[in-house]
Amino acid sequence: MQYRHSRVSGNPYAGNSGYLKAIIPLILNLLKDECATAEPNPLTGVAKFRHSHVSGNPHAGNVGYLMERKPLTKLISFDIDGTLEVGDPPGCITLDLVRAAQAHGCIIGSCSDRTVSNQQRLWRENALPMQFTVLKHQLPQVKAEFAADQYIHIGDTELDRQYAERSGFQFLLPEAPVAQLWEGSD
Amino acid sequence: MTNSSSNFPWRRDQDGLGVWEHRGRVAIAGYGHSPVDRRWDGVNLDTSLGAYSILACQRAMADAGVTPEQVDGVICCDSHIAGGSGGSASRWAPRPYFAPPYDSEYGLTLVNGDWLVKTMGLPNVKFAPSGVPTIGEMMGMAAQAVGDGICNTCLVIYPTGNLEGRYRRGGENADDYARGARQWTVPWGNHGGNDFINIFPHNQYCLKYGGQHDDLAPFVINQHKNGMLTPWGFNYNHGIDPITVEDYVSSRYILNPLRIWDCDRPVNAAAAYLFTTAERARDLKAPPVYVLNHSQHNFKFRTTQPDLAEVEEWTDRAAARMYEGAGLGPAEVDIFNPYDGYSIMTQFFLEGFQWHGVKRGDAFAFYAGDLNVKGPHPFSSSGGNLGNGRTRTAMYTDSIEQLRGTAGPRQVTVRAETALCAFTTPSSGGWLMLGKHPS
Repeated sequence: MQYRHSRVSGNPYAGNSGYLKAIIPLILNLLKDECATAEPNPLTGVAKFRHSHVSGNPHAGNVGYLMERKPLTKLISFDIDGTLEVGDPPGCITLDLVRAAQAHGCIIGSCSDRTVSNQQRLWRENALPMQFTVLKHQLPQVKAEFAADQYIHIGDTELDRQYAERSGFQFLLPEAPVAQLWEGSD
Repeated sequence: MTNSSSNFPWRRDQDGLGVWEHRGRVAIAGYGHSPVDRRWDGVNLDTSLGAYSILACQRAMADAGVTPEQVDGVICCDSHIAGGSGGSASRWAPRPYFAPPYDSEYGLTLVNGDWLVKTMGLPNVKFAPSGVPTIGEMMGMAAQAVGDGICNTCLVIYPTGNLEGRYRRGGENADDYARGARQWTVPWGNHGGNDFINIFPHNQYCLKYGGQHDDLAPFVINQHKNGMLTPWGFNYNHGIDPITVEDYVSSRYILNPLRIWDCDRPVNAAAAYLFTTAERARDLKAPPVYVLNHSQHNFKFRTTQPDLAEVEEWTDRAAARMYEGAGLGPAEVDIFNPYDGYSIMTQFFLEGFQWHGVKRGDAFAFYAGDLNVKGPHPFSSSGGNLGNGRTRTAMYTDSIEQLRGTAGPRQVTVRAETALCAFTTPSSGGWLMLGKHPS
């Protein structure tokens, strides 16, 4: 059977199943090797690829190379009441922890049923500049405005979970070891 | 000592009862509020619902200049404000209780007359009924008890409890299924009693008379504004910023079109009022505020879901009962504090009682006018639940203060000689008409 080059792309390999047949097992092997060394983060569930153990070359066959050298940009949205120490009721996440996230390069903001002006006042009073302050149902706008590799919302209620998941954010309870989100990311 | 309220025919819940037989012969001589907290922390016994109820009683007695020995009636609503499906916001137990008097749920998340009499050491109480309804009806019960001579100096207590957790999301409301009759009444599985019931007629209202839901914004904003003029209220004491139109229209829906700011905020607090005879009240410390009528209603639903026509008929009938019993008409009501636990029902009361000439379909235009307490139409000068938290008492206290002339920055500039106040829904509850003068 004669295979023709793709008439669409002009790529001599496009549409060439013989070429693909040859290369796919190689790719699968590479992925298999990488997946075997991947360690899913217990917090985020995201696997982080390590350098190849096969070649000794830290770059060779390393799918996660760029991710490793250029940390993921993480956006973390904090609910206030029941989540942060300044909430009503107070939550278990201290403002120092929020500052640490910011210091590690995370994009941070608050997402609450409090009015935006009330949230902004809170952050002014605590000298903690937030990069966004939105209402609970406005997480999609945050995602549209900020480019990040990971979007995370931390809150204490099912409502937080609902809005987070609906908006494509990963949801975490405040009791989770949230510092793992940024520790080792720089 | 304890009597069942069911043995005492105190309700005025029929049409055509005529002028109340005790009109102007019963008075409110004192009131007291506890602090209004968002919730009880489950630990501090100085801030439990029982402790706050005692504090409110002490303040009401001090306001009136009455000693514990002089109190012979205690009427305390013993239902839990979080309701039968209170959820985690209403259950403190099961945990080990504290030393007496906090060795049961009473005093922590529940309060009743017996517990108060015993704990406060009120030696001469002869009337402390059980099964007392919510404040909307309870105030009428107290007025009738004093008028009938069942007691002479009566404390009326309304505790409103809240713990950390989900409010009214327990029991059947927490079920994943709508079982039995709930498949017809709440097939969505969950609602708080008033939200959906009033949303439907509210939407019909907008269709029938024109306007849209967000036309409620000026009213809701004004409630918050008045709340910030109420020194005992939640908003005033907790730095709750007054909301703007932008805040309102961008807020999230709880149940479209009901927005979060259309709903009151559950709190942990108690208020107490001291009722006595008009004759005795004249000798007490504070200026008496006279009770001109009380009325109740519990209208039967035609179907599972009331519509606008029913709601308008109910509120017309409630208004007719109240005006007839008080011997007054709409033009003679100076202060008007209807219930606002959900903002969407208040227009039904405003139009039903025709305060300041507002007729059916006029409410949104009225809201768009001047509602300022210093203006010509100081509607809901209390700030209600929306401005003060879910105490259900702001309407009563503001009415008393306006008639006394002690409302401070909320004091209206129009005449303040009569006041109409309520905790009620369109279908059930009660109204109270108060006067600066007995007739």
